[in-house]
Order: sequence, then C-alpha cells, then structure tokens
Amino acid sequence: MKSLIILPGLNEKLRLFHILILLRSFFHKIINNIELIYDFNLNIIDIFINLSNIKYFWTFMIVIKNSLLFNYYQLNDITCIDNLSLLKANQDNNKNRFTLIYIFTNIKTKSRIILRLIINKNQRVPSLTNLFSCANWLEREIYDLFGVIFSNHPDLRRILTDYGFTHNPLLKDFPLTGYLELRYNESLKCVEYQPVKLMQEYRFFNFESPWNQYLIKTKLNI
Amino acid sequence: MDSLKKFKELRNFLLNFGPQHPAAHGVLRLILELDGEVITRADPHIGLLHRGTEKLLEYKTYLQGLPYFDRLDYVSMMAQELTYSLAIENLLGVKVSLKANYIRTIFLEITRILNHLLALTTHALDVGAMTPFLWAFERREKLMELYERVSGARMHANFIRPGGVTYDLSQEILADIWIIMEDILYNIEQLEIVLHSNRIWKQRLIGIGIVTSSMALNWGFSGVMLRGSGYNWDLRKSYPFNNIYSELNFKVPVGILGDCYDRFLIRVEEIKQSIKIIEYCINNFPEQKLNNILDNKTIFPSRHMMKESMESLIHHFKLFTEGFTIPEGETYFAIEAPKGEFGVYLVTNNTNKPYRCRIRAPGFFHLQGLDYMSNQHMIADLVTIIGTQDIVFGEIDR
Repeated sequence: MKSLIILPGLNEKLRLFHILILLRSFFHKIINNIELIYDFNLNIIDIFINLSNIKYFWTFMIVIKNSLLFNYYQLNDITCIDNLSLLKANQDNNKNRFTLIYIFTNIKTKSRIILRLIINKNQRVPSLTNLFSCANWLEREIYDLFGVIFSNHPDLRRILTDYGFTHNPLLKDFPLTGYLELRYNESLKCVEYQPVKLMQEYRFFNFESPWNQYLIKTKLNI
Repeated sequence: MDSLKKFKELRNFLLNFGPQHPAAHGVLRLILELDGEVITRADPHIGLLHRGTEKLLEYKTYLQGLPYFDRLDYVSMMAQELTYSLAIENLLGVKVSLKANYIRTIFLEITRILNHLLALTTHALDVGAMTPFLWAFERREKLMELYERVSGARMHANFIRPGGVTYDLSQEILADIWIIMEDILYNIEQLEIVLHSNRIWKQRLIGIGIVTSSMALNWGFSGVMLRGSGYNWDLRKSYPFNNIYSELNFKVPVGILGDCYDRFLIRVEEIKQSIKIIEYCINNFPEQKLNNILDNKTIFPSRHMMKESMESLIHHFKLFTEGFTIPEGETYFAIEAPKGEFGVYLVTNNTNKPYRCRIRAPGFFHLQGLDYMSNQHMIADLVTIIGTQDIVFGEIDR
C-alpha cells in the first residue's frame, strides 16, 4: 500500500479503510496497489486501485457492486488509454497496449473508486453489462474507438463511427486525417468514398521547447 | 397450405424515427419496434454528429483545445469549459483567485438557466405548448448577450480558461445581470401559471417515463434524471469545486415518482435556485482587481500589460504558440453541468498537449436509458421522454 492516512474520529470512513485492507488481503493476487486520497474539507474519499491481471476481474466487480461492505452501485465511466507512445521501442506493440479505467461512485458514503487495468491487445475483457446496464454503450464505444473486445457483451456493434467503418480511430497509430473521405459526386448523383487527398500537408507544429523544466527533469531521470 | 399459414411468423412493425426529425432534438436515428402503437424496443443509432473531439484534442495544445468544449453541448457552453479548466488546474496544482471563482460561479449558473430554459420550453413545444418557448427564447437571447459582452461571442465563449477567466466583469454588467435575473424570475412564474396546472401538460407528463431509483443508478443517470428518482445527489453539494458552493445555502430539489412531471418541476426549481446563487454572488462580489492566478506561465497577460512590459509580450507569445506544459499525471474531474455529471478524464505526459482526454457526457448515458424508459409507452410519449432527457447531440456524439 502506497499511502494510508488514518484520521481519528471518522467511524464511517475508518470502516472503509478496514474494508479496503480486507479487500487487499482477499484479492492480494490481483491488486497491485491501493491508494487513498481523503479530502478533509469535503469528506470525500477517492480510492485508486491498480489491478495486475484480469483473472478474478469478474469476481472483483461483483464484490464491488453487491457486497454490503462496498455497494458501489453507480458506474460512472469506462475509459481506455492507448499506451503505444509509452511503450519501449524494442517492445512488442501488443503487450500492455491498453489501460482500461473504471470509475464507480457510492452516493451514500460519497466515495469514488478509480480502477485501472492494463491489458494486451486482442485480450478479451469480461463485459460488465450484466452488472451495470450503462456499461453496454461504454463498452461498445471502446470497442469502436480502440478495438478492445468484450466477452459476453449482448450487442457488440460500432456506435460512434460511420456504418461500415473499419478502423479504430482513437489508436495512436491512426492518423488524424483518417484514410477515407466523403464526397458528393455530381455526375453520379450520389455520395462516394475516396482516399483522403490533402491540398496541403497537415500542419503539425511541434512547439516543445528543449529547455522545458519538466522535460529536463525526466531526461535527468533517464 | 393451411398448416403453413398457421405457423406464419409474426413480426412487429419497425419504424425508422429520424435522423432528421424536429422532436429528436438533433440527429437521432431511432429504430422502433412497435406492437400496434406501443413501443417494445427502441434502438438509438448515434454518431451522426461525431466530430472526433477526443482525437482532435490530442493534437492541440491545452489552450487550443478549450474551444472544442464549447461545441460539445452547445446549449451549456461554459460548464464544459469549466470542467476542462478545472482538470488542467488540478494537474498543474494551481489555485484560482477568489474573484475568478465568483465570476465562474456566476457564469456557471447563468449557463444552467440558459440550458434549463431551452430544455423546459422545447419540451413544452414538443408536447404542444408553444407560448413558453417564445418567452424563454427572448430571455435566452438576453443571457447570451451577457456572454457576448463578457467574451465577445454569443455562444462559444471561450471565457473560462485554465487559471481563471479571460476578462474582468464590470459593475454595469453585474447590474444588468441583476435586472435580467428579476425578469427571468417573473418569467418563470408566468411559465408556472401556464404549465403547472395545465390539464393537457399534466396528462402528457404524469406517469410517463418513470425511472425507479435503482434503475437510475444502474443506467448511470446523473443530474436531474437522478434527482427526479429521489436521490439527493448534486455535485455542487457533494464535490464542490470551490468554496462558494459549500458556503452557500441553496436547496437541491428532489423528485418522488421519477416521472417526466417531477423532472419538469425540478428544472423549474433549479432555475430559481440558480438565480439565488447568482444574487448571492453579486452581493458578495469581491472588489479587488482581477488577478486570476499569480502565474504568468499559465494565464495570458492583459493587453495593457503587453504594451508596457517586454516580459508580458514574451509570455503572451509563448502561451499562444507553445502553450504550457503539464507534468505527467492523470485526473478525473466532474462537475454538475446542467444536464448532469460532465466529467473529463485527462492524461498528460510532460508535453503541451493532452495524451488522452476522455469526455464523460451525461447525455450519452441518458440516451442509452431511452430503451428502458420508453418501453411499453406510446409513440407520442417517446417525444415526451426525449424532451425530458434534455438531449443535445453535440455532447453525445462528441
């Protein structure tokens, strides 16, 4: 456990701390670390959990939702991050490619769980649609934009992109301009697809200055 | 032959609703499965307004990305700017000055009124009452004039930015806000006279689109949709982004039944509470000069300063070309936008552009619940349900 602040006199919150310690011992095989941030003024707890593997993911989710100790009934968001630029140059591009982020809220105890899970490309993730109905479209969106496949999803279709679209646009190796563009063909009187042709090269200004303080810091670390 | 007829498959009628339909509030394509006139399944097809905001943000500096947030939900512009700015401030670790916080609060509440006026009255228009729509749009225009006076743009203001706000408010604007608020309060009372006890309005709304409390959580609803089902959950109270909200004693209206009429009443009450908050802010408006944050590396210098000091000119140039750099980090920040919980998950990596910016739009979750809400309702009620969900496609499709 990275940091654990225990404040006296806060029975409700203290209970939560104990529960988390229990959770950690219970799921010690998959939990990498738990981090707690407690806002003293607002009486809010944010819990950050890093999962190391996907093995007991489904069990873990059931515990978070249905166990009387937790009852995180609301799934706020599911997000995905493409780690391509963070991977090392000689590393396999598919390994540890995506980070999935699940955000849950408990309205009663005013606390949030932010759960991170790193997966490989083409690895199947169990769908949460049976537990949280709102996971349906969120997972469809991730499938659409990143290509992560969710197993046991009732209706895994594309959602935001065009009918018949084939790529995953939020991947880091997908170009900003895309591959196809639409045009109305006056002679054929219909809309047609054609490869993107730019009259001018996309102007991508890289303004990163070499004397930037944050950059210097990281370079020194390396 | 007879036996074949016996086992003939019965198929329900499929209706294609939209994508261009005035009651769909934008480009919503709905595939409805009907049993007579009763809806058995509704399958919304979205993405017709998809502009790839999340992808574009990865190629823009933090300041260049800000105007994209105005264009997400184009009836509550500043609420989204605020979320993005707060996420950036959270990662930079800067605190905004008191006066900037007051200006932000005033404009967040003005935005809420702007949104609710549209939501309520277009809902009324869909159901059949036209007059409130005309009244509200006159007031909306006045509120958008305030936007224009403060930022130069009627709708896409780009006013609230990381580190504070763009310009200071003058006393005259505050006085005008006060006058407009009184006008709106009077107008809301008129609206209540017309709608509250209106027989047709009640028949069309009471008992329609009921969301039970457990299902509201299960479908990830937030904002009015969650409060309509009986949860006292307002991010202004439970996750306040500044201490004005925690000091202030405003009320959070909560519904009982969870039907469309409850949500209508909640929206009306929220406008009144917003007016209260704005009046509190005007009364306690700090008098000192606006200094957003004492950090020239994040917020740009004033035009006056640029003409006097060389350093300000350099800062201005650097901010609008290179922008500022945010150290490595991740944050989830959500505020109570008029439609619900609007969140930004921001991932930064030591550069001047976000590595990933996820936008959590409340409308996305509400539209997803349309299938559940419209089940076993008539087609005419579907229009009421879409109206009560307060859907805007800019934020759903992103």
